[in-house]
Amino acid sequence: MGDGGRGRGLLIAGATLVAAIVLLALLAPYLTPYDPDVTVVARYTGPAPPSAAHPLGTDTLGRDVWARIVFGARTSLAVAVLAMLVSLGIGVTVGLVAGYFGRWLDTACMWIVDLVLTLPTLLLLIVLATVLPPSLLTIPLVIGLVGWTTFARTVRGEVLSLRERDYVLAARALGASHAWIIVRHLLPGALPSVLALAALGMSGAIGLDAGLSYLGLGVPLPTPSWGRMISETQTYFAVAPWLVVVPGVAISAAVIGFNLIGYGLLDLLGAPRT
Amino acid sequence: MSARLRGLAALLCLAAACAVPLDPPPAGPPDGGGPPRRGGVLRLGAADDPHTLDPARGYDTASWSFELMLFDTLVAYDAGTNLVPALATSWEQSPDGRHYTFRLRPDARFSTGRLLVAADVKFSLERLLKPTIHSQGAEFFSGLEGAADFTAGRAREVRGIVAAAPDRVELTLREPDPLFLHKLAMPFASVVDPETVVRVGDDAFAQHPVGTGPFRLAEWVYGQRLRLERNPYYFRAGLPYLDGVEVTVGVSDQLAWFKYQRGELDLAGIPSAEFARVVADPRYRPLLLRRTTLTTQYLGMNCALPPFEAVEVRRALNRAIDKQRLLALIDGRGVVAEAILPPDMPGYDPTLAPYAFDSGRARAELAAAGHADGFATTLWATRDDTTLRIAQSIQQDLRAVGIALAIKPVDFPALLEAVRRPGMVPLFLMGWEADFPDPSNFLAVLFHSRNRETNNNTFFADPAVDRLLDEAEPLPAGPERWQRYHEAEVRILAQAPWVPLFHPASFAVRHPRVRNYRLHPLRPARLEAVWVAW
Amino acid sequence: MAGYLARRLLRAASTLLGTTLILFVLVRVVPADPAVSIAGPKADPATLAAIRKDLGLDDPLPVQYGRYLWGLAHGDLGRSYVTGRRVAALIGERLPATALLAVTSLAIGFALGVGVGLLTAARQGSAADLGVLVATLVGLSIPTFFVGNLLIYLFGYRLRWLPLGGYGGVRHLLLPAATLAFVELLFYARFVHTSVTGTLASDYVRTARAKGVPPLALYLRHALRNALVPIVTLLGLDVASLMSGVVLTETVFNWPGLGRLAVQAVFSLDIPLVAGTVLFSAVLVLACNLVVDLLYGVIDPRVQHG
Repeated sequence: MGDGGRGRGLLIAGATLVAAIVLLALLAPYLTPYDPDVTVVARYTGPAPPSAAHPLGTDTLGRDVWARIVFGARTSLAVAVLAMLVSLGIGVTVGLVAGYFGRWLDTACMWIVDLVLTLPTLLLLIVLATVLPPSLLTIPLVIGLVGWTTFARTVRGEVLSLRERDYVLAARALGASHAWIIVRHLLPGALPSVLALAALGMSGAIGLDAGLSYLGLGVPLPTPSWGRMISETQTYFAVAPWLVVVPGVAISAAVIGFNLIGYGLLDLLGAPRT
Repeated sequence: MSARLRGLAALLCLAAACAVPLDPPPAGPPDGGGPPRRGGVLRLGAADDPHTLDPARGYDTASWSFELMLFDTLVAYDAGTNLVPALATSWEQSPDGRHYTFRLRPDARFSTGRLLVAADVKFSLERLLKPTIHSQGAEFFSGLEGAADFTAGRAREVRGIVAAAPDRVELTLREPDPLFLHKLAMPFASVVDPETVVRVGDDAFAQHPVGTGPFRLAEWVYGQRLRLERNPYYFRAGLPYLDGVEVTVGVSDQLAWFKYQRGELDLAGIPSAEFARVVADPRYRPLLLRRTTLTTQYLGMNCALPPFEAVEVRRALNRAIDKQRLLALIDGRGVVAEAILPPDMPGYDPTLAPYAFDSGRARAELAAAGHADGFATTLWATRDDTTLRIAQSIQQDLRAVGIALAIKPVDFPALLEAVRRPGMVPLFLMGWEADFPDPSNFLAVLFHSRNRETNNNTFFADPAVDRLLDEAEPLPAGPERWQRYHEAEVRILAQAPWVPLFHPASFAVRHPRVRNYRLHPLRPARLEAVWVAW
Repeated sequence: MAGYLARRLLRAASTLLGTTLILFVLVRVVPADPAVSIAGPKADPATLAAIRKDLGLDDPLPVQYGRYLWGLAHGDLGRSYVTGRRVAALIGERLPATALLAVTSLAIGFALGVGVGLLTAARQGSAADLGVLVATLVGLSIPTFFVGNLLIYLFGYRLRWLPLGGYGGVRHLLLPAATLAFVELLFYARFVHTSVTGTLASDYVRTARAKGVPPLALYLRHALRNALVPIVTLLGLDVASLMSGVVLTETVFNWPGLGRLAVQAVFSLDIPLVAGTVLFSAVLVLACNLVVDLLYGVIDPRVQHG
């Protein structure tokens, strides 16, 4: 079995961090008097450093940075979690099915995976951005729909090697149903990889949000998101470093939190039984 | 402070999350240095390769910058908007305005050494009209007699272009066109070397251009750099002073700024982040270059789509937008626009400012028009940082009067296409830059009802305005012409298909060694008289 | 084996067909007329109509698609709308730079990453392990383009040790490769660590340990062997994506790679170039996946290719 004590420790640390961020997101309207979407300075003369009126300064459109951080928590969390759930859900399912049942089902699933992998993501995003009305759901859905392939291929690879293990063959011989074998034997075996990828994928999702905003394809304007806050201001890092440092710290905190949860779970769940 | 010490100080600043002080520009006296020095290579940076170096095909600033260095036209602009001789030494116009006779310089040579003759001019202009070239410049010369037959394949040549003698070209138009000389000053009308075109083919000419300009193409490594060298046969004696020009391709704004401060580039734009402090810094003042063009950036409203069909709504939007704050948010790079024509355009009226910023009045007007509860609509805009800042500023202003604006960032080609489809785009952000210094290039092109399929993207249609524009078109340049267009402008503004936003100014800094770099309102800088002091 | 290969190649071909079809449909959906892209905003309808006719844009969709496939079969990827140059040439001239960057950064990042991952897995639970964990997580949460910008500011501009972007030898390659390798390193370190610790705790490995297998051999042969399958999967996907170009790094460092070319093509709706880069990337992905699947059989003999 895994290291329960350390696992619990990591889990608690991670969960605390994430809970703090979630709390920030939920209480956002009460934590700041400013509207995050509106220029709040009387005269704009560039981003202003932290001051009494604006504890984290103002940004490149004269908006309060703290306000955008707390409201941005909502967006970033929602986008990352939604994208991750979609990716995980589709990817793990497809990987398990393809790896276990093999033959034509495997071929069919992998054909779809290859197709999705070869899809021009950028073009797809631009097309969707052009034809759909601007909406908060588009980005995470697309990230999720396009990003599940890594999970699928990883899980499938694991299952391919796991299904020939003695304990699996034994279970089959004993007449266990497919579902039982998949859930009780294969899934836990593939779990370490999946959890590791999921945890890493959270940072990926937030990073993707930043990259997309950099290319002009992020969540609808002027919705704040931590990724957009960095991409909007990264050329200002010498002139107004706080604009980049603050969302950077926020993103790090979120990524660390989710990853700690992931590793805590890993330790608690332990390794596959033989 | 030595460079090393300054570097350490900067790192400490960054570590403490406070601003790093602005570095000084490259060292050296910014002016003086005596008579122009011959020699040296000007080092420039560009974000991308130019699309093409073929004058028949290029219609963007980047391509034109190079075409101006490689080619010449019959006539050109002086430092302002007056036309002066270039390849033509003189010209005459017939009394009815339809015939032009140009006398050519006897000493103009292509960079291959070949002497320029009238047949070359005929070749170049006809090439524009060739259907296989798909030249964007074709429409400017479709007024030549016989052009339609040539383009349709019914004739082997254009009747209206005659090489009467090796040094004389005669052009005939179907109807008089007061703008024809301006059209001949466009880079489309550059004279290209027929021998090279025939040898490499029309398509490859874009990569192997040969013209009579001050420079010729020495090297082009795609994605990396372009090198131009002096044309030894250039007809203006003693010019160009520069041995050559070297352009590094793929340089982003940020990188260009770093390279400039390191002294690796002679010219660079100023990134938005540094703009305020560079412009205020006395060390940079002598090195600043400011350029205005005949451009207006505007918010266009689709007059054929509710709720913008109602003129009251359009006027209310004009009053709802805070243009001063908008300009401040883009670092003040320009002047507020209250009318359609930009300053420096003949016929510009500085007193024309029909709508003052008044949020309360805008709200009242909207309520009177039946939109007391506001409405929701979408603004289409291109994806760059500046435009999106403008869009967000407008979004806030409209929110204050009850309008919920969704911003839709799209790519420029998609925007161009979408605004042409009736019923697709309710609001859009665009700019219009005039091709020649004449009000028709704004008012007729953008507001005549017959142009609703091309550039009249607000689908504006007013018979009275059409009549004024038609009356003004054949008039020669002068008060009568400007007067008609002014009346048209006033009428158009009264119906408010636009919210004119601002006239942009672009800023750059030069290396202190650069001398005589002149900015022009209509064309990229030509570089033939630029020299470097060391 | 030959049968398996043949089947996979056939599958790859059919996938490519599917990709081109999706591409065609996507491009039709965008409301942009390529004729306007070519002729510009001030062109009159007659010119636009002539261009459309010339490019065959008014033909029915199946006809256009068929024409494109016919061209592909003859190795003709068409000409860019924007520059008029052959797409194959445009892609070809960017290949050396892209390959150089991909190989260098992957080699460094993967080697270092796996090394760090193995080391920390061995010292699991120690303070060093936890320290590395937090450091890698912080590192992973910084967007790549920002790392690149920071590096070029520090080493190129402030300290003047390295050139300010551009394509060239080792000095030019160092910063962009380091930026990419940094991310690779963190990613693989994290992944290897998790995979290996998971395997180390398994009964299988504990049995081997009880049997007296020496620690290093245990480590390398057993723990790593089992973790190798997912690592190889990721590596395959990584190679494909790196070779398709990494636009953000290329933009920051002015590296003439495929990523920037592809993104520019999409933004200017230069359809033949978009199709060309997408196809190139697709071929890479399929090839890498094939190699990875074949490697499964080598790494883990129990895997059968059914």
